[in-house]
Amino acid sequence: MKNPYEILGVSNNASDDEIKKAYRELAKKYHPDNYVNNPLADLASEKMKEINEAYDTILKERADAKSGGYSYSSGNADYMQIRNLISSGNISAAEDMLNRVADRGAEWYYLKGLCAMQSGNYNAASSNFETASRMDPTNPEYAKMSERFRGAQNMYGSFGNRQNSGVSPCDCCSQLLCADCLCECLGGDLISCC
Amino acid sequence: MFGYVKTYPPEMKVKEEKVYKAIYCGLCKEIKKSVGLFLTPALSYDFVFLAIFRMAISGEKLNIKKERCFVHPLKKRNVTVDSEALHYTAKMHLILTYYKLCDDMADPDTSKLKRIIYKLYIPFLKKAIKKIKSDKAYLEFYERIGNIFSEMNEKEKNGASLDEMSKSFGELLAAVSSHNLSDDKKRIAERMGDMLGRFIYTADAADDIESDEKFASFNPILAEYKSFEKAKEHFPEIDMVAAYYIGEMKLCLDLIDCDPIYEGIMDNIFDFGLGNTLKKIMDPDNIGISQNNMNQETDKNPKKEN
Repeated sequence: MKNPYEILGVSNNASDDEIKKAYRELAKKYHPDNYVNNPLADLASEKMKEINEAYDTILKERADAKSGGYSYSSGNADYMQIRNLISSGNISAAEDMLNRVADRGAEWYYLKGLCAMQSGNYNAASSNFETASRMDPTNPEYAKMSERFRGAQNMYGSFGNRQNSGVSPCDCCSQLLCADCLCECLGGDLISCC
Repeated sequence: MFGYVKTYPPEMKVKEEKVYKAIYCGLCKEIKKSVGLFLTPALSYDFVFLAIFRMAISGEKLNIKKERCFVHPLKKRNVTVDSEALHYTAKMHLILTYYKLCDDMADPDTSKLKRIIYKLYIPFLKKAIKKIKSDKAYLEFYERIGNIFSEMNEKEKNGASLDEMSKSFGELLAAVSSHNLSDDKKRIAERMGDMLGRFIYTADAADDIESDEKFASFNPILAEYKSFEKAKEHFPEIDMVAAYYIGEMKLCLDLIDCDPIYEGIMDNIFDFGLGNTLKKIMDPDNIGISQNNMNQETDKNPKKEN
């Protein structure tokens, strides 16, 4: 299969929200309901299959990375307990335990960030996630959380990577892909390899 | 309130712009009706957003008529009429403005000129407020808002963080956005209000650092970084969290099934308007040429409108 990110027309480090949005838009376009009684229905359903496969692949990849992340974090029993406390919503107990930890590595900052997030302290949360990712750039779990903020900054913030015209390199690719499909539907071929 | 929640006209559809103006006019008329013709405090765009959101979430149909306006008497204008959402938003505007004015009067730093003007407004507002308080559905709400304002004053005295202060203002707008709604709609409106309140508070705090430093007024960002120059270095972090709030507001919008005209206006505000506000505060030297030349409004300072 081609690069699933290319199929959806997003970059490799697009946020989960951007991926979902791209999938939704493409799914709307190629949905079989749009092609009922249309001689080109089979082409649309092929495209739909490709899009679904790409989306499933990306989600699975990211889910695997996340659960893989558990083995990344220290097998430290204290941290496991703190995670459980956070999942059950007992933030004050989790914070108490965290504050008693002397050795503060990336995992500590990540858990501190989760506590802040649940308590609605988003500035503290963002800062803690940044620190965790900086201390351990390979950890996908930490990256995922700091990406939630970075992704938002790219979309809406003043210091992100979005250009005001709203055109990104992805637009170019997806437009070429569409042009290629159109060409192939009409009997020609714009891009020979797809 | 602060005039930070604006549309971005260069990206608006013409029909959206017309509807937006009609809602603005409708809200202004509604406020004048409730307070009295002559001394209406300035209407800020933020309340227009609240009105549109209210219309969207309650599934209200637009009803626009051509009417005359005292401030613009020459030509009849498109005005939204018979709108429950506008009645509601006008009440909210009244309550929040009244509390804000009282707050300012109690603040020793408020200028003499402002005090004189407020002294004229307040009796008119008081009368309208009395009417609201007599309505059971609003009395408890009115008191809750008062409590949140008191809480915020306490927090200021104790030197709270940006998170703490934005949380309170978020709580305020969550209540304002969701009152008299129920179930899922209430939850969505609360989340929207919470994120909006946090955004507005953050933008206002960042916008005011320089003047707060000069006049020694409380500012949570200033309290943390001690000086305007130092605080500026941390703008990217503050900007990031403000952008996060915008993203969350969009997620709320995604959950509402509403008339596309409302969705279009709110999308414009979230995708462009709020970001524009943020940019003028956080990175004013880098505003692109497309904004400066195309839209006169962006040249104005996003300072307080009162």
